[in-house]
Amino acid sequence: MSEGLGVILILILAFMGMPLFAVMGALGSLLFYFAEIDISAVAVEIYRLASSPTLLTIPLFTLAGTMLAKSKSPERLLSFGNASFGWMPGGIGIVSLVTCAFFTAFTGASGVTIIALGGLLYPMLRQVNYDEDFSLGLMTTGGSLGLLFAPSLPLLLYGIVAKVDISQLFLAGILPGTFLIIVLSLYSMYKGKHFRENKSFSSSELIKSFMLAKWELFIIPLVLCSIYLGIVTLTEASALTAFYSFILCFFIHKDLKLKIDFPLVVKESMSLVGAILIILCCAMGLTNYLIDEEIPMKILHWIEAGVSNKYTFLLLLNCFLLIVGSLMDIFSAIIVVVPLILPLAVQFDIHPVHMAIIFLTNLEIGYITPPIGINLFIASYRFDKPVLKLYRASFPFLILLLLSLLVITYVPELSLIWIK
Amino acid sequence: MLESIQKLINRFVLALLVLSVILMLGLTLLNIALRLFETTLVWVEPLVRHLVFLSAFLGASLASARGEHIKIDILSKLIKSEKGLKLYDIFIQFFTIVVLFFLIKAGLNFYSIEKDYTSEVFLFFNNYHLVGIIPFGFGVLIIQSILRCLIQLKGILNE
Repeated sequence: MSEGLGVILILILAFMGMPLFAVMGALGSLLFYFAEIDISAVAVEIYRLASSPTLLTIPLFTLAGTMLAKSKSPERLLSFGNASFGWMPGGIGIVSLVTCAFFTAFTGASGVTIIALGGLLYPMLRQVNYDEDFSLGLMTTGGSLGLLFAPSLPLLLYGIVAKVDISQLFLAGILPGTFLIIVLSLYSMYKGKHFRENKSFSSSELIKSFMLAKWELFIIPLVLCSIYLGIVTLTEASALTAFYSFILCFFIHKDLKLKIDFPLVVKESMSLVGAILIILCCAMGLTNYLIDEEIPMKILHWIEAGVSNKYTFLLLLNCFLLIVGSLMDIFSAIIVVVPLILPLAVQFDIHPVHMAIIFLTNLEIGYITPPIGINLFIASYRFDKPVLKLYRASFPFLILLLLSLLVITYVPELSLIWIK
Repeated sequence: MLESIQKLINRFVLALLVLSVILMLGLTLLNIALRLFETTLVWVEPLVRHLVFLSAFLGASLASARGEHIKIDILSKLIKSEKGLKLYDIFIQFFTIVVLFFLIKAGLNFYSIEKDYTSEVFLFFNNYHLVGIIPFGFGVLIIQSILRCLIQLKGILNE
């Protein structure tokens, strides 16, 4: 059996639904075998993951996110958001977008946002007269909106795979992530301009809801300030966040019960972490082989033959990444595609942090890109609506996000303003 | 019988995961607290990294048991019958098991190489103890995949 035939067979199995970790492991083993390298090299590459200094951030931030999602934190945050913006025309839309972004930042766009918040936000949006399509579109888009904010799992994974400083990525994501929320908020206000919300501003309600949600509201400032004030390292910040969320959910609010819920939280969060890290483990051999064989450089030479301009390259890159984002899971896309495009980014003089933000924004949009953006299917399942309806409902949001992507791509200052 | 074995393994894996998460969190917090007294435990950082490494395999084995691995699944959506889906799952699992077999072999080869050149890494852990996580982890994964295959097969035969 030749090398090419083996690779084709494995790729067929991949499209037939073989778990991606097995696909990566099989490709790595096969390529090492044909290169006459002992199979133990695959294990040596896998073991390299254990030396990654920021590895701990992935399970601990995911644990914190799962605890918060399982508790009554979404309700508390929503009630605070409602008291803050609910009186404005389109205010409920803004509240929904901000709440979705907060939870996506913690749960890594794994569908939890749509599943957990859909039942709360969708009826609220409909109640204030937003039409069905807008409400569905907003919920579908909201499911991946906070990906650029710390401490989202894709940001962490990108940092580990691309060897980019994660604390720089946390800073870089703030403005582009806020920009996306502002664009969609303006659209919400535009859609809501014809109907006034059926409530007026109440300072007592605002104070009351703030007092209830104050512990949750401190989480992101706690993460960012503790890192940037140099009090703790990134991994220590993840431990502090997990511990803070643990105390909050199990002892302060007592939303969760230690004996019953803690093992469930561990099971849910670690299944997700395991499913991601095992792909990362098995892909180590394959990516190293590709780099040894100078595959990214060959792709670069091929691209350079047709594209010499940085801006054209960025446009093509966006098209490519949108296709990747709509076909592949975000975690697999980061693990497989990032090592291939990094040398290209360097060659075209794109800052690695800016590259990360472009990459993740594309994948964020990929979640709602037809035909198989995963959020479209999760929302179809959650709200019991045909997928075609979700395509239509998400379309205006998709267009707005694509326009915003162009701004994020061609205005690097938006991502790099706080990066030295 | 098969379901009971699977439940037992899942419980064992979950217990290990809970312990591992508590250790990761507790030890990292301990090191932060110790810094206030201008001291640190140097073995905490590598131990925690290896606990994450172990947890990756254990978490993945739970995903295997529940059939929740990340995959590009296009063809299975075309299959309408439940029996057909189960057969399809067995077919895919079979190839996954074959790959896992080679990955275990890779892990065991690496383990025996490390054992020949043994050295202490931290605390009482030698290099081959740590490398042993790989064949152990893939071992748990292959057991979960085989069990899932057999449970699906039993389901088909009982229909």
